[in-house]
Amino acid sequence: MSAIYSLQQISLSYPQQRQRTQVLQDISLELAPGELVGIIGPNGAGKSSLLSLLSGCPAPDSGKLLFAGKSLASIPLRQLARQLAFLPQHNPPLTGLSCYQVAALGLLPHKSWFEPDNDYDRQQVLLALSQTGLLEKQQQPVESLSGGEWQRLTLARALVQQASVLLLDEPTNHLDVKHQHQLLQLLLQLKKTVICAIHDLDLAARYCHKLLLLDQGKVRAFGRPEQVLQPALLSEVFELPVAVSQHPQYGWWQVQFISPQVAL
Amino acid sequence: MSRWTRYYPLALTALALVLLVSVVISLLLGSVSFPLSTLAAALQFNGTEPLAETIIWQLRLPRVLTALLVGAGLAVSGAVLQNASRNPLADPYLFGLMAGAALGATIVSIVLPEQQLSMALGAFVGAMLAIVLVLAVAMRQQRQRIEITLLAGVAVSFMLSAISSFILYFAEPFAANRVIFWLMGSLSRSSWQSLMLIGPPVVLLLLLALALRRQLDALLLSDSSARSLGIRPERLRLVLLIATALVSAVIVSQCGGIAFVGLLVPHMVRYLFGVTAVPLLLGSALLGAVFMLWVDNLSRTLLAQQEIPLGVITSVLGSLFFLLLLRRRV
Repeated sequence: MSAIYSLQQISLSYPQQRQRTQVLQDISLELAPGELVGIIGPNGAGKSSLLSLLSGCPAPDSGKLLFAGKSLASIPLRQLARQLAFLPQHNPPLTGLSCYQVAALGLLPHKSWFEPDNDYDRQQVLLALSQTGLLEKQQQPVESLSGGEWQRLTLARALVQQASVLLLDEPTNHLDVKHQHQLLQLLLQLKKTVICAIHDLDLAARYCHKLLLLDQGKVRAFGRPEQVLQPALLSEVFELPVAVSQHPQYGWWQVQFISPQVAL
Repeated sequence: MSRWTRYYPLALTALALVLLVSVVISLLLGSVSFPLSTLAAALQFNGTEPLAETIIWQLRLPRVLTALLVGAGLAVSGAVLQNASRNPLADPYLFGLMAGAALGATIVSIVLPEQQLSMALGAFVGAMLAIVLVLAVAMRQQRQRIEITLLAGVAVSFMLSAISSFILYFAEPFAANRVIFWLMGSLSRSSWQSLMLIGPPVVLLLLLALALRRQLDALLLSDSSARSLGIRPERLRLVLLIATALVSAVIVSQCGGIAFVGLLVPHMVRYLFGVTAVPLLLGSALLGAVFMLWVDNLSRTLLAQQEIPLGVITSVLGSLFFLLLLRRRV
């Protein structure tokens, strides 16, 4: 199977106070279609920057970035939007739009200027809302949603967009435990290529086909969870002692950070 | 979302009917009032009512239609700018348009009176000068373009106003009065010619905004969401900025300053029909047209033998309405 993403010696920097801060350095990797890839690493490791880069904006300073075999920068934005959906991390905006209306925005890249929504489109929107458990809230304004519901609504929009690749920035962040698992299960069931930044290493190990460990803008490890979750590596990157174990019954990998003892 | 959002097609139809009735009443109102039968005869152009025919066809109809288009154009411009910038204070005059138009009118009538140029032309050139100055600053920015446009508009306004004030200060009082009254806004100069100038840009802006309705809705979320949907937010905003600036410049040059319509009408429509582009744009066009028609009717009929400047009425009515609306919302 050919790679959906191919990165060759990618570097990215941002201007900051007359200097350029290097956020990604010399990243080379290939991502296969249909996989759920978790990007892990401490704050400032470059997780969000890598996701933005994969969404096409900003373009890398140097290196080659191919999407489905073509240079990502050469693909028109509208065409890209039919294949790729980026779900950035932000709170529900004060718009007055209803949930249905936000999900229906996913139709945008498929519609020409004066083309109205048809019955099929409306069914797609309702299907996406029911997949994300928001069907009952379709007429409610997005301001009334909790952080987790808003997260699921942006996923519903991406589903309407019919993108085969989803990029998510910390999708489980605002969710309670049940919804964290529900969301990741849904992402697995979709059989799409999903690349998400994720903080919770246990969730990452449990659901992701592959993990990408970033530290200071560099790839430290990339592979199956058990390959990446090496105690020595993790404790070096996260600067805390780590114990990695396997769940006795289910065999999932579990990571426990051992914080310095504090007298209670 | 407001209670009426779901019924907006019905509400829009009702507004369209109100507009139609308002047009008929506006044609009947004036220093010479007609009964409905005379209006019907005059509109048929069958020669039975020669005086009424002249008044209706030469004076009232172009004026009523101009009012309608000016109101619709300013309100749609305001709605587009507010949604595109996610800034509730955006308004068609944000480019320093008024100050530019004022300077143009001042120069034409005070500095170059022997050239016999029309104030409308001077105002249009002045308004375009302001737009070019503001965009020259804003074009260089990749981020926060609308915020910078707003600030640059304020700065350009002060600069151009200072120049016109300086010229007016040394001008003879009669000529200065002429410019100042012109700036207060009036539709009394409306003709079929001015209608031809205002009509196409307003209709084109409305069509453009309706074609971009999904893009406008997507901009309400965030720039990164919009980009993920295949939109280039900065480029889209620039197109919309230029389109609304052109429409506003044409309107200002033909009718002078008509404050508050572009700022206020979209907010009233949003309050009634919600924020999505289609009800907002159509509602703004209709309500802007109705509002402007009645403002002009008041301006024509409130005082005998004299017209009240439009800008005065829109500002008084507009601010009152607005304050009441704000009070109810809290």
